[in-house]
Amino acid sequence: MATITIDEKQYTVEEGRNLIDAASDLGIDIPHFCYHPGLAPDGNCRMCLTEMEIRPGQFGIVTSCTIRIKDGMNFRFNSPAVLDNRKGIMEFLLINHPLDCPWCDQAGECKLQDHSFDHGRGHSRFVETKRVPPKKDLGPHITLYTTRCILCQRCTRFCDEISGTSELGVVQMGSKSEIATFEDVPLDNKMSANVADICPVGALVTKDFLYKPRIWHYDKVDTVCPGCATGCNTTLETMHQKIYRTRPRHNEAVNGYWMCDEGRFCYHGWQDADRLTAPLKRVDGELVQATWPDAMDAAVSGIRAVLDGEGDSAMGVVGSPMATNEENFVLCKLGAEAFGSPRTGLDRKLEGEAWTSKSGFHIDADKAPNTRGARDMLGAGSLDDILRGIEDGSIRGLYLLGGDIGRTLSPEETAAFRKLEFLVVHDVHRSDLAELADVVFPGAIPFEKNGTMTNGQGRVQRLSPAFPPPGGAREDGAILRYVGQRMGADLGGTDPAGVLEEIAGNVEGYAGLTYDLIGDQGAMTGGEGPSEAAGG
Amino acid sequence: MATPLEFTDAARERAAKILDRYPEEYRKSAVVPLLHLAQEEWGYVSPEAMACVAGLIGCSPVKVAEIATFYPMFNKEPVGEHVLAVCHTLPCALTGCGSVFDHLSEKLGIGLGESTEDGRFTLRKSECLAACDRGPVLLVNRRLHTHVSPEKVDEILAELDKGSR
Repeated sequence: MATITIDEKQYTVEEGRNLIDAASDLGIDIPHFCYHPGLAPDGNCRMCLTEMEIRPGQFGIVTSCTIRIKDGMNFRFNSPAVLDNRKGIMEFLLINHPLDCPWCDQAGECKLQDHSFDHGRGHSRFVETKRVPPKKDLGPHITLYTTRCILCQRCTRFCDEISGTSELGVVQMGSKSEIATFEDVPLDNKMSANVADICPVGALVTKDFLYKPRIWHYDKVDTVCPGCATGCNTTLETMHQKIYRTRPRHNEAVNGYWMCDEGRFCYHGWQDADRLTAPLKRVDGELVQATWPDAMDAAVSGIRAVLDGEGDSAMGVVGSPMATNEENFVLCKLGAEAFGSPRTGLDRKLEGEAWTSKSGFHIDADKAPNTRGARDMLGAGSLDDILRGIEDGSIRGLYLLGGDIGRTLSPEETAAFRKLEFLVVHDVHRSDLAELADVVFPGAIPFEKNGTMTNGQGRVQRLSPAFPPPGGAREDGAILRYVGQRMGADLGGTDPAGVLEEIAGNVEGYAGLTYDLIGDQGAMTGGEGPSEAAGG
Repeated sequence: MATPLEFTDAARERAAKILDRYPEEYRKSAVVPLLHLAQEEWGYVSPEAMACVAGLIGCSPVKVAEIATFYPMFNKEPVGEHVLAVCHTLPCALTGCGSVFDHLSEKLGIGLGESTEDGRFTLRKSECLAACDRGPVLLVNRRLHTHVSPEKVDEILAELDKGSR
């Protein structure tokens, strides 16, 4: 630790930390544009200039972002020189800025607006004509509003330091300087949309979030990306049961400040799916909509018929890597208490491509968010075991936790499921799987789930629902409990926090885990420390 | 992407010598001398030439474009055999660069940034050429002419005509 002086007051801060972050820890905001904690300091915007004592009694102007704290440093944050500088910088930055805030998508979360309010003037002294360079299409996800750009170069540095793809540069000279790509090489990498997040002004915007309702109208929900086993921490912005934007939420041990484009935009697939809003049951070979009590009757009598037939464990249950730990745990319990120790399996998901960026940001090949957690909960064998059981006739009924919009069935899987006497599935749309079922319960998509998932590193993280499932669809845990009730088994309370307590008491590696401990940054299973991997 | 041009064997040898002047981890510093070489080779620095330089120093082509577009003396478009650049900053303006430029423009029949149809001349304005005490000044290719007047322009053009004959 180091003792430093700021405006004649003494503070104790971490040695070696840069001045902007150290001040921020103390609750003091040093205005800045080009500095971003996820990138190396660059010192180009000059907004963070403060005064530092360079010789006894003599102060000099320094860039706060490049100053590393040492014991005894003495700063002035509010001297006339510092305040004048900020005012001057703001005036220069606004010379060519169009001030088109009313229709700029950054409005409300714009550093230029904030700092202009704090340090700018009420009127401009600039009487010449503003430069109006045209907007540019930089790549599949990103548009550059060239007029709004203040050339802080966060975006070019992101492409150099984080994605490692270096598509962006600053071309031309002086007042004609512009962010640009080279010829026909677009800004097209797996993390490209992050440049819109870190752009401090409205210059870089995602095409996905263009001319959308103003940012202050959204409800924000912290959750975890369902796109792969990395489990990037995210914040969803929603309005009227609709997601408008997903943004990464900082978690140094998982995703740093970033997320991949595929994960960021995957909400469209889920949101655009033709959702099931009522249960389905098979009547004369056709799936028809049913009321919940009707569908439940059909499910219970079908399961009973299988259980009352020959063999000890004629039912099988299949958990889902798309479902939460709590849902998989309750499924396992339902099996144990109501289906007479059935065989357990875990549904599969096609492997995708793994990718690691220059900075170590990792996209997992496992495209399901909770394979590790589901396996921990179910202690399950693979789906192949279940398919073999169906083939040899030892499994005649199956309860399958579906709910993955990307899931398609192979011919072997289709053949096996067709052979079943009775198939109950949870699903979110009429998938291949739902079409084979005798009863389909309408479940929740990941953005409607409340609970925890365990990422590939073994970090247990919280999911919070953005909104309730639509219409008659229900959270899968509640459905499982309803089935348990009708089968005469008490599966306990419906609160996911309570289920996690049960998990902590029963599942190896999860001892001691609570929502409090998991917090908003997650907690490792097996009481391991934070993982060194990933980040960025 | 723009298909990188390839240097001739002789130019490639010179490029290797330029690169040798820099330590392995600072090869990117060779970008300016390599761009000069490219301009000498092809007359101007096209995107394809930038891609060639990027390939030699092992960086993204946009990083070469940053440098090439920053410096006005790298030609981004084809130019004539002789590039005439009239300094138009304050001291030269006060000493009469306007009439020098107008005379050149009239004589060659081309405007600012244009080239004569026979490909012999390109007319430009330039920022300060660091000879303010001897203005107006005119840069002809790499040679600086000082105290230029419309009459002196005629002499210079005649000289250039002679040289190419």
